[in-house]
Parts: sequence; C-alpha cells; structure tokens
Amino acid sequence: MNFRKTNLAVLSIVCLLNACKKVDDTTIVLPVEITPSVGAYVLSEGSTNNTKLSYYNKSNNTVIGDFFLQQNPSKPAGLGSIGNDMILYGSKLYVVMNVSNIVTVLNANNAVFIKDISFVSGGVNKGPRYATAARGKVYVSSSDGTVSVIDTTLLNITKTITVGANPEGLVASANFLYVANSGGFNFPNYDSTVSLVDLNTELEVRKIKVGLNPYKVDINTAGNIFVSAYGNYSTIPASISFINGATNSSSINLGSNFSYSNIRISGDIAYLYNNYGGTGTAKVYNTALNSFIRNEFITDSTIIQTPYGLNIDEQNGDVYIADAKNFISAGTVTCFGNNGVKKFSFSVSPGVSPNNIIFKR
Amino acid sequence: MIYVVLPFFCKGQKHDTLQNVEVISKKNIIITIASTPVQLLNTTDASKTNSVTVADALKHFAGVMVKDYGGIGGLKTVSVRSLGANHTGILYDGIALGDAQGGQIDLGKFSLDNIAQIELYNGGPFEILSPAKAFSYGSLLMLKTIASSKTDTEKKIANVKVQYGSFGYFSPSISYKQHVGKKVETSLNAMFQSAESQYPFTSYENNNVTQKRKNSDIKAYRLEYDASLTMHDSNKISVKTYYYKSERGLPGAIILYNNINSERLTDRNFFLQSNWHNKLSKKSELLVNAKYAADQNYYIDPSFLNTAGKLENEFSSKEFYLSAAYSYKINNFFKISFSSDALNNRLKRTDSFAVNFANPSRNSLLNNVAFQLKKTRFEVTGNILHTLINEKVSNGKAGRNINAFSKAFAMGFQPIKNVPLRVRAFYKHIFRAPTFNDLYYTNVGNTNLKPEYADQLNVGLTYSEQRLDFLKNILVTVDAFLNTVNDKIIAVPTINLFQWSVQNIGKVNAQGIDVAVQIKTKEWRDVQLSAHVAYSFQHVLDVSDKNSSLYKTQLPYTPKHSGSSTFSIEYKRAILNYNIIFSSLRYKQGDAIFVNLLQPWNTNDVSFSYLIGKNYPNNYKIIFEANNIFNTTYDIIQYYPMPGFNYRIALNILLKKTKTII
Repeated sequence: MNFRKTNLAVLSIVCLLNACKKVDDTTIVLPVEITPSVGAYVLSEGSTNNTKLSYYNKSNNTVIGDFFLQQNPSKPAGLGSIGNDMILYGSKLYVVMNVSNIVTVLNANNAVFIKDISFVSGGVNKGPRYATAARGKVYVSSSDGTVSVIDTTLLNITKTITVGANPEGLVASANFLYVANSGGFNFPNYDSTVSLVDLNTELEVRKIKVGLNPYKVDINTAGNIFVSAYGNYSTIPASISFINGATNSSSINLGSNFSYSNIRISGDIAYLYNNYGGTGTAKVYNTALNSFIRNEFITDSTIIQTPYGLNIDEQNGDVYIADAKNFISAGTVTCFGNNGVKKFSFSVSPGVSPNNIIFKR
Repeated sequence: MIYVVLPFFCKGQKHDTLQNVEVISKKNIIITIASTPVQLLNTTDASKTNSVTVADALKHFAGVMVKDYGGIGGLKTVSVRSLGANHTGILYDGIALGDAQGGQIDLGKFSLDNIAQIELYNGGPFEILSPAKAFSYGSLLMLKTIASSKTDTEKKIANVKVQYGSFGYFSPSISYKQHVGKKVETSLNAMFQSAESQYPFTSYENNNVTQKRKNSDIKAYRLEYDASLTMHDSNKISVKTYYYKSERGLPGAIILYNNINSERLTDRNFFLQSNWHNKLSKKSELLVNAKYAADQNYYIDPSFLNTAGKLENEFSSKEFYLSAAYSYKINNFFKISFSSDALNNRLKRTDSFAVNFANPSRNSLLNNVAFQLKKTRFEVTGNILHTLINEKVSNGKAGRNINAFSKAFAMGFQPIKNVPLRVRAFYKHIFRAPTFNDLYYTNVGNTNLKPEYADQLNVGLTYSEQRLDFLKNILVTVDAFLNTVNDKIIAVPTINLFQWSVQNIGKVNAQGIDVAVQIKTKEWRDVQLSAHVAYSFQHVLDVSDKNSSLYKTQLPYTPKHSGSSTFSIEYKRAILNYNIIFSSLRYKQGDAIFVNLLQPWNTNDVSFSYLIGKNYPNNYKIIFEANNIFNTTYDIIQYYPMPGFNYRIALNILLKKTKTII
C-alpha cells in the first residue's frame, strides 16, 4: 500500500503539531511545495474477482464507484481478483492483483489500462502482495519469497530478488529496500525477519530480526524503519519494531503499547491501526520524539467499524481511513483533518473492503 | 463381457410381475395423506429427469435449492426451504449418514444407478417407528437403494448399466441380487465413474471467447453389499456394507486473468450398518439399527507457497451408532413410539501440518417420544426429542455441552367426505449442533458456539384424484411456510481477512410457497402423457443485524422464483421426456445492487429411452440424454460455470431368473 517517494525531504513537509523537527543533524529538511490533491483513487479488494477502483472527485464531492469500468469499457470483467495494493509512481498506477497474479498498470491520470504484468512463473502463481518504488523502478513482493523488479518504461519484470518466506510490506530508503518476511504460509512457524536489500546490487544483504509475522514497513523523515507485525493472532500479540536506518544492524521492539498490525507514517507521524485486543481506530505516534500524540486519532463521534486502509494527504495532513465494515457490504472512506475531526466521507459502492487510498494531484 | 459375468441367465422367462400402477398410487397416497409435505421420486420418475446424481434429481423438488458448483465432481449440497444445508439429514437405507465434521453432505457423491427411491420430508419422518436421529433434522432426505427394495419374484436379478457422455464421462455399474433359499437375500452393487469434465464455458473476461474448465476430473467407485434374513414376514434383519472412494480435482472458482489450479481431494467413505425390524405382536414393533462408519478425506494443494511446497489436510472420522425404536398401538387409531439413539463421533487430523488440532470426540444421546392419532379423515402426530451432546478434546477447549428439547406437531384432515382434498399444518422446532469444523477448525473455529435453531411453520392443501375421464391421476400439493433460523452459525472475517471466526450471529426469516402438480393421463392408443411441475416462491430475508446494509435483504443465492417441470410421452416401448429447470435472478453475497446480481437461468433437457423386451424378464433399455440443449450459459454459484450442451448415452441391461424356474 505504500506510495513512497525516495526524496525524504518531500515527506517532511507534513508538519503536524510540533513533530517536524530535525532529528538527525545530517538530514537537511527542505520544505517542498506539494500540489493540493484534486481527488483520490480508492482500491477495494472485494472478494473473488470483484476488485474495484473508485475515484473520488474532491471539487464536486462525487464518487465514481467503478471508475476502472467507466474508463475501460473494453475490460468489462474488471480488474480481477483481490487487489491487494496500489501505488502511484511517475505517471502510472500499479495495482497489485494478488489472486489474479498480475500487476495491472494504469495511466495515473485517467486510470486507462496500459498493461497486465504476469506474476506466474513456471506455471506457478507467485502471489504478488505489495509494491513500492525507488530509483525509477517498482518493487513488488510476492508470497513465493521474492521481490520482482519492474522496469517502469518497459513494464516488464527485469529481475527477481530472493528474500525470506512470504514477504508482505516493503519500503525503500535512499540505499536500501526493507521487506517484511511474514512466513505466513508456514503457519504456525511464522518468520520474524526483515530482508535488507541493497538497491545498488538488488541483492539481499542480510535479514534483521523483528516481531513475529511482520506485515507492514514504513519509514520516517530520518530514514528510520518501523515494522508492524501480526504476532500469531492469539498468544503472541501484534508488535512494532524499530530499525535504525543508519546502521540497519538490529531492531528494537517498541513494547506492549504498540500492539498494532498496521503502520502508516507521514513525515515523522505514524498512524497505528488494527488494534489487537482493544478498541479504537488509530493511535498517533511521533516517531522522532518517541511519544504518543493521541491514543485515539478520531476526536469527534465518528465511528470506523473496520479500519482497513489509511493514508495521509501529505500536502495538508488530512487522514483518509477506509472502512471495510463487515467485508461484505460496500466500504466507505472518511477524511479527517489531522486534528481527528471528520471532514467528509463517501461510499465506494460497489467496492467492498477498501484497503488503499492514493491521491491524485 | 457382461454375459461372461452372468452366465446363468436365460431369456424368455415369465412375464415381469412388477406392478407399476400400485407403486405409483401408493406413492401418491403418502404424498396426499401426510401431514407434513412429502416429495417422492422413484427410479422410473428419476430416469425422466436427465439426472446422474441424487443432487440432479433433487433440482426437480419444490422448495429445494441445490448449490451446484458444476461438473460431475463439483460439490452439490442441498438446502430445503432456506434452512441451510446443515439442516437436511440424509438417511441411507434407514440410517443417517454421518455429518459431524462439516454437516453438509455432497449429494453429487450419490449416483442414481442404485437408488430405488428418493424421499424428501419437510419436518420429520412419515413413520413414527423411526430412529430418534430421523426426528432431529429440519428436513429429511431418505435414499432407498435397490437392495433395500422388495423384489419377491426374482430368484436372481442383475442390472448392468453403462453410461457414456460428453467431457469424458464414463460410468459402468452393476447390481446383482440373489435369493438364497427362502429367507436369505444378498445383493452386490458396484459403480465406477470417471470424467475429465473439462467442459467449455464462456469466458468471463470476453463473451466471444470460450475457455475450458480445468482440474475438474474425477474418478470414483462405490461397492455395496447387502444381505438380509427374513425369519418371517414381520421379522427381518439386514446388513449393508458400503465403500466409496473418489479422487478429484478441485477446479475452484474461475479467477479472472488466471487459470492455474492444482488442488486435489480424495474421499473414502466406509460403513457397515444393520437393521432389525421385528413385529413383536399385533400391537408392538421393534426397530433396531446399528452402524459403524469410517471416513477419510485428504486435501492437497501442491503449489502452496510454504517451505514444504505443499499444503495437506487429512481428516479421519469415525462414527459408532446404535438405535432402538419401539412402537405400540394402543387402539386402532392411536399409536405411540419411543426411540433412543446413542452415537459417538470422532474426528482426527492426521496430516503433518496438523498443529494442536482438537481431535474431538462427541457423544450424543437422543431420546424421542412420538404419537400418531390416525383416523380416515383426520390425523395428528407429534414428537418431543431430547438431545444430549457432550464433547471431549485432546487439545484446547471442548465445545459446549448441549441439553435441549425440541418438538414437532403436525395435523391433517379431509374436510369433506368423498372429496379428495386434505388440509395440513405442521410446526417444528429443531436445532443443528455446531459441526466439528465450526468448533475446531484451526484458527477459525469457536468452541463457544451454541446450536443453530430452526423453526418451521407450514400450512398446505393436497388434492389427489384418480377417477377422472381422461386422467389416470392428478395430484396437487400447495404449501405455504414460515421459517426462521436463529443463532445461525456463520463464518465472518474479524479484524482482517486472514482472521475469520465462526459465530452464532445470523438470523433468517423465510416465507414461501411450494407448489407441486403431477398429472398422468390414461393410456389412449398406447400413448400416455405425464407431467410433473414444481414451483417455489421464497422471500428470505437476512435479519441478522439492524445496522448492516444487508438487513432485510434477500439471502444470497436464494432466487425468489424457482421451479422445474418434466413432461413425458410414453408410446409403447419408447419414452420421450422434456425437462425444464429455472431460477429467477438472485444476488451473490453482498449488497443487493446490480453488480452482485446473478442472471436468471433455465435449462432444457431432452431424453429418449427405448425398451427392448418390455414384457420379458431380460430386457434392454437404451437411453439418450441431451442436456442443456440451448447451450445456456449460467452459474448457480458465481464463477463456477455450469456445463453447456452435453449428452449421455446409457445402456441398461436387466437380466432375471425367476423363482418358478427352479
């Protein structure tokens, strides 16, 4: 789900509260102008074969639920099965279709279909999961223990990097790619490592131990890495681990206050969600100061039944939360100011189980 | 080859004394006088419906929804009046088929080749002298095999059937039945079935492209051996041994832009059952049933992306069952019965991926008291069932014990003497216990589950006339029902789609009408016409959660209108049948919006059979079946395409050697 930019300075522009500080003397924070968003693409994974791409038009507050179909009448069957992740990189949208085993490339401007990149290798489904981008390339993790490198001009897989078991989320820093190895298919013997991949050689350097069954990875302004992990869904709780991006030697488990399986960082502010063993939508954490900003992000009476995706508009700090509700009926997306007060919300019907919001500028 | 196997048969013996007329009228009587709706289909009728399996034949029953995942090997489960497949009990020659693991028996496993009669009872059994288990279901499906049906006249009888059809379908079967002396009867039945089942379907991605179903092959065989000893007319012991094995591909849902699937399933089912029916006196009868069953299923996904490079699931289950039922006639119109059943069900997971599986063992004790007050024009029946279930596990927590009473009452009467119209009503309150899968399925199961309750209310009319000018008989049944399912057990995702949990959160309100009409004309110049029409209206609402957008919307995969019809013309030795099955639109799971809508469909089948040697003991029947003749594209379950046009040819050889020859 991580729409990443390698320019750390860009990320730092979101100065929520007093969080935006130089935490590392070597980092020079340069405010960069970001164009305000005009709308948002929402990916809803759905169930078998009914992944939907919706488009929310900010100017007139309208939603086109099945935007992909509207823009691509020649593809009436739609995107396919289980859109697990989507990133916008350059002029294209990359939609990771987990069960259809393709990465669908769309024009980022109008969602017009460009190409399907097959994730079937030797007659076996690779199971693509998450994508990130760096240095002009798109990196896609697959459950078969690899990260595929997509050339964004050729739109082909040019290289396959071997990582750990059943990788999930991944993020790129200036020099490295961090890939969470969940080992989820080896239940109950989950993995608990992050593969450190050198972006120059595109080879795994080493594995860094993190919490059990790691899931999402994100990076803050200083280039430090935070890894959320599921645990074993019962006796071992979810956790968040911290990796120093300068040394990449080992991780620190942030402890029992961080029992969240999902993390999304904007600048230095982390939103932790999918709370295990408690209520609440999202916790707001300052990764630079190592302090909580709010235990509950939402400050008004808005209720999110099942927070299933979260993204931050880095231009104004607005937080968009996708609500999967009961995973059967249409999902909704609610936009909040960074003060946790609802601004607006919209249904993505016929989209079910929305998991990702990408801003169009 | 067939003749080598059966060298003792000779031709030109005594005429077939089977009284078809009597069979039909007796059947009609049960349908008419029963206080609860009954639907019956015998071999003759079933052969008119272009059916291979019991599931296919049940598509012709009113109020029955067959969830058919397509193809010979595709799963086929049956839900009666929207109660859900778990509320349908299946009795195979009088004894319940085990259902402790999943609770939904695949009726595609039961081919029609050895089935003499299919009976479906809404509510309980027709006879109050029945095992307690027979009273424990929302509806009861009774399958009676050829072995259990009466054949007094034949000393030796053999039936050989060979079927060949589209998509590599091939199925030979043989039944052989023999009388040994006056008291002993033995029979053997063997069936083999294989199909590639790679049938074409219209691509979901592009209407103009045809794709083929993959990994949908099946190989199955079944062996049954029956023996019975009849001491005298009213004292009979029978024993049945059954073995079924199948190995099949699981083609799964069609996945857009991807057609890779390699999952396989192997099933083994064995049981040994015995039945002793003894009329102790003019007033009292005893029925004792016993069964041992051992089932095994093995699932493999050879392309699973774990370190081992495969995923295996292997379960083995065992059932021990003992039942005694006793009935006593207090006077000519009042009868009571008592039955007591004890069961033990065990499930073990035996594959290398099994981790801390509960390996449950369940003891059930069912006690039932029933009464029947029967006068010519008036009948009242009722029963109270007590169920005691307790469970032990080797790992983790055991499911809740169950200690519950359930009940059913039914009445029927004929308001006007000499007018063959009867009015009937029944009420039944019953539950189904959580299955082992509901309770213990790894990471999903929930041991806190309560039973799922179903309440049924039915009022209906039956009309049966046998003496009309041109009609041999006409039979009409109309029933309206009101069903509710409470604490419905459903699997729901919790925090995310990795984590599902089984919970008692469903609630369903169903209202509906079932109509069935059967007409048969008298023979006129060797021509006889018959028709069977069934129609169901079902308004079935999900009332689980007031805050959900699904509240008060029609239950997924439940058409409002569905039905079937069979028209037959018999001329001398030839029978021509035309079948239609239809379903109105319905929604798949999700909001009741256009994208979740599944289109209405209907299929049209034609069959033709010709009998050579109709009036002789040895006869030959050739059957041509053309199915889905208009090549309709349809799914019953979305993305599980059903076969288009296909055909079957069958040759049936019946060989008899009568007692009189000896």
